[in-house]
Amino acid sequence: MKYSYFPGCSMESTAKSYRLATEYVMGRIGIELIEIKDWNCCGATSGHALNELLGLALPARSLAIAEREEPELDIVTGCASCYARLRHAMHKARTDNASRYNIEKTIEEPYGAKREVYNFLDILTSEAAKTAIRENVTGGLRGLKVACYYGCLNVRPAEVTGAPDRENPQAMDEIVALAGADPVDWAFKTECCGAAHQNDAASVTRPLVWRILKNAQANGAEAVVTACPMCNLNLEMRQDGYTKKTGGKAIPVFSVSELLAVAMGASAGRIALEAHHVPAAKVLASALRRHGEGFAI
Amino acid sequence: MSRIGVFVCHCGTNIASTVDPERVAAASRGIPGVAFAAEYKYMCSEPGQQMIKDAIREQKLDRIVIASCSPRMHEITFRKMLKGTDVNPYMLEIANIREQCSWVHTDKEKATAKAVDLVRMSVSKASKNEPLFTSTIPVTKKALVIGGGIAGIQAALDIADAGHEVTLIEREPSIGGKMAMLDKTFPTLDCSACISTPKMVDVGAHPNITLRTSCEVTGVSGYIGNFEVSIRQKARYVNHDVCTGCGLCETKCPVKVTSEFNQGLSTRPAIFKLFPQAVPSKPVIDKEHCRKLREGKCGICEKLCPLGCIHYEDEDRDFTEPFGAILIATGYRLIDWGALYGEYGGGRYKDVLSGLQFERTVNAAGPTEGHIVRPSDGKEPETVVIVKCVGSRDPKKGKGYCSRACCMYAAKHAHQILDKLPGTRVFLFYIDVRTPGKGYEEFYDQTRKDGAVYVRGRISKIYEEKGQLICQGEDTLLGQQVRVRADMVILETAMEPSAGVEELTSLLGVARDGNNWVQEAHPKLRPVETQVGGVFLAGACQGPKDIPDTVSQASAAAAKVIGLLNKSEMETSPMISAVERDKCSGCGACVNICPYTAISLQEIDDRLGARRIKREVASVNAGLCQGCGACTSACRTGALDLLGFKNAQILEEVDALCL
Amino acid sequence: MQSEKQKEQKEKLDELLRKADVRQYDCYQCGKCTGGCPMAHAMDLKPRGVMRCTQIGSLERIVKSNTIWLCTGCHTCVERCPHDVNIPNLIEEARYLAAEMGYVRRDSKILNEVFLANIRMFGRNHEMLLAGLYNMLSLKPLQDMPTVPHMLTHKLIGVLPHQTKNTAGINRMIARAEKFSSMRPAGK
Repeated sequence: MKYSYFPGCSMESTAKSYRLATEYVMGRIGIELIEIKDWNCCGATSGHALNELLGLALPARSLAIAEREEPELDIVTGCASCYARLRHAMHKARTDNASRYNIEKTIEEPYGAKREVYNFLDILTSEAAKTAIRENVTGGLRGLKVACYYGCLNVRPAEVTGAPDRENPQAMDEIVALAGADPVDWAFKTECCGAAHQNDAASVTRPLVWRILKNAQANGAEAVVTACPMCNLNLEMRQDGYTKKTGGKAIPVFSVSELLAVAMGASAGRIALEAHHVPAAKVLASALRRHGEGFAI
Repeated sequence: MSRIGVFVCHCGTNIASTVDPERVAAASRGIPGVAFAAEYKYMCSEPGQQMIKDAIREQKLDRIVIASCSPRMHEITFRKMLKGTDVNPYMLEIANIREQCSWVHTDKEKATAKAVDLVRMSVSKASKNEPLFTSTIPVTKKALVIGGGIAGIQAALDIADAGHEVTLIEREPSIGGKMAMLDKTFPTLDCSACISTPKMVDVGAHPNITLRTSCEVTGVSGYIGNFEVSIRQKARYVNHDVCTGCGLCETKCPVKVTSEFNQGLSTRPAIFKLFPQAVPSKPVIDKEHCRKLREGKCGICEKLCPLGCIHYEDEDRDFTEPFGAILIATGYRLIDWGALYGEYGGGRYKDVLSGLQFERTVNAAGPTEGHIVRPSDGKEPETVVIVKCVGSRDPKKGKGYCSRACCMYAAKHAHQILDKLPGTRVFLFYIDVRTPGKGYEEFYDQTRKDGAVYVRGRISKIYEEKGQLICQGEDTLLGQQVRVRADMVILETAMEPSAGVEELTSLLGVARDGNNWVQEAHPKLRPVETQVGGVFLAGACQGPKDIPDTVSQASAAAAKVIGLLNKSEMETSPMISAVERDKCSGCGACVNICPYTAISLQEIDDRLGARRIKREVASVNAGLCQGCGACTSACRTGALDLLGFKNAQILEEVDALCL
Repeated sequence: MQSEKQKEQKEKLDELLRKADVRQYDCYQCGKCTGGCPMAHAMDLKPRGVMRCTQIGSLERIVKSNTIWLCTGCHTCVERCPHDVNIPNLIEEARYLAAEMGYVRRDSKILNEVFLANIRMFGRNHEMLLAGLYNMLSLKPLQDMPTVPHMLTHKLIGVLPHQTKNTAGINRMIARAEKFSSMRPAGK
């Protein structure tokens, strides 16, 4: 399987371990990601705050390049914000001729919106990918209780994402279970974490993070698994207040790629697990140790 | 030359505000064949009708055109009026200048011109009308009531008390319907079982009522007064003629099945009575779950039964019976909220109940013997949240309509909780409180006095944290988001038509509305009739309803059925198809196209030149023909014509407009 | 009689609703939107209040609210709205209108400017630069400072940013978007 790949800005910096783990996992299960040539920021979230057209043009430029360079390939991204912006541009170009005309005029290039935009969850739940995951995991994460956090933009708005269940989605739970871990039933899978305002309204978005973490822990989760670098960073960086103000216990947060990589035998160093703000290696190591497997931290 | 009278109705301002009746009448006087024209405020009123009758006598009119509302509204009224005159009732034409003119236009000039055109067309058609005469058919003096809830029970009893035979069929093993599941009824708080079970017993014992449970309608043919209904008696595997209902068989059955009567809150055996007060008070075997029927092993109930009633080889039986009238009383079911509302947990949380589950919980005959406790741990709740409009007034995920009864039973639930568990905190989340009924607003007042807290706002999310339910919504009167920690949540879910109503209405040829409720013939003037003659309706099959409304409607429908069955014979419409045998080639196209199976081919003796031959021609059954006219357009030789709507009459109308 | 100002407000509001594809009469004020809104606690006008303002014709309260700047665009409100009222669309359009009318929340304005400068320079979002510049300009120099050493040690943020090569093309695109945005697509 081959996809045009839109990494997104966070993958290149703060989401280092997510990037390394994604490269590792995709390599193991035979999915080839071809990075879109000279891609640019998708615009999330300020791009569309003040100028609708710019909010469409920024993602459309990268999509147009992808369709020009690899016309046979669908596009995939590992970031929920990028996914939302890319899909929004695709959806607009498909459903509104005036918008498409304006987009093409702005990016000075035709954009046919012929290829689909997927997120990692979409491509990891294809039958072929699931089979490959099943064949590659060791089963050492059995009993590790995790809360699968999808975030808002991987599922909403429905008309843009086409997600079948926006309240209690199952795709990531399915992948996590295939990796051998134990997804908990919890209620905040698609509650917004407020990552969009982590700079300009930090104090009022903190309660959003805390509520998510609290519900995850109340339902027995030892870690939160994400499918978005922005969510991941936000859920980790805002934990200082969570422990200080609510008395909650710190909880590791890592991406579904990292969980899969560890399940497939990657060492902590291989995927830079130490880069997490909230230590993530320990919980994975103790899960592996329960089944007699070692884990190089 | 015919002498046609034209009468133009103002219909108050309904017509007169957009169409000028005086000008229409004046223009009519210039149409060839019109001998007289007049206008009046309300033609259908007593003075209006008298005006027409006087004109017939004084002007020696032989045909009448009335320009008024749709013929669906008053054609019958005016036909009845003509019965007392020298003009045959079928020498009447209605020009619809209301629904098809004044109501849909705004330009008075153009609308008036169109009204004149419509009158001109009707005059042309009337000039070709011929007198028609009704015939009569016998009426089968027996009614079929479909559905054994409180609507069907009440209607069956009323019809039977009037002296007519009734067959009541119910697909469940017992009658009783939803009312049998309820604990108390608002606003009087009578015990539901105490008022419904005596009626159930009456049904079982009434000499004029034949009760058939575990039965479904599989086919309907015939017409008003003369229906033939095919019914399937589903296998019960218990001989009810011999069974005394001792209940021994149920005691040792090894199978545990989720109880549908207790809404999943308890289990029942595979051989079971629906509930202790079931009528008939005899068990049936659930073949989906019976070990003997599925795997061939077990047979314990057969061994236990002292009278040898158990017959594992029982089979479904089909039979056909004639009926003169049919009454639909199939009721409602609650929506499957779990599939629709992920934000309320989608059915994952044990202590989030539907209203009907709460009814079973609070019912002394229910799984907890009336103790209000949480299904998860059997503890009494300290805080209960009641959520109204779950699936109602929600066109996106649920139903666009208001389910009408929920406001009141939500108040009743709050009252019952506060009555049985004093000190409990009860919050009712609502959008509007609707109490239009006798004693209803007073009941709502009392519930607030009891201590229930009404919060205006719709709950947005229900989730669980450490065994505690949290209901998140907005108190819209405060303008603040609120989170209520609750031990139990009751969702007052929307009503929708019972399963299978599509199939049943298709068999009967009865229409449904956009939400699949059975469509009444007229919302105000014919509320318990369907548009199919001889088929009536009662209760929640027509739309969400509470018990008082359902019972009133059942008695109303029963009155209609009694009125029909009191006749020994009834008039049939003469506006049916007629065959000109000379023109018929016997091709059979009409036989295939007739939706009422009213046409068949018949062999006749004929001549071909000098030779005597036998050939087939179409023949119309006057009892079955509904006058739809499909056959006349299918007939290649023009041998078929619909009396009252002959091709020549319709063409005359078209010519009047186009030539 | 309506004053000229009232008429102008009404016209602007009608235009806003038309662009957002929202009909004010669809809302019956049930509050399910606000009940589920993750940011409601911080908003001076809740999502239901925004709809209420469209009903009573108070455009001013909408464009001056902090709501349109605090909305995260998570779409929970419209997801659960029984009448599918697209409040996020309305808020987005209200933001454009507020900018036209000169009501932009200070912090949002700084962030957007820093973001745009970032994109102009690199074509991509340089997270440290974005946060650093924003924090300084918004007079919150200490925000998230404790995490910086961790990020630098683990090379999560670098001094030399990754970037799109064709920044000239990106700048041209931004200029065009700004020029064309006065001719926004009519068929929304």
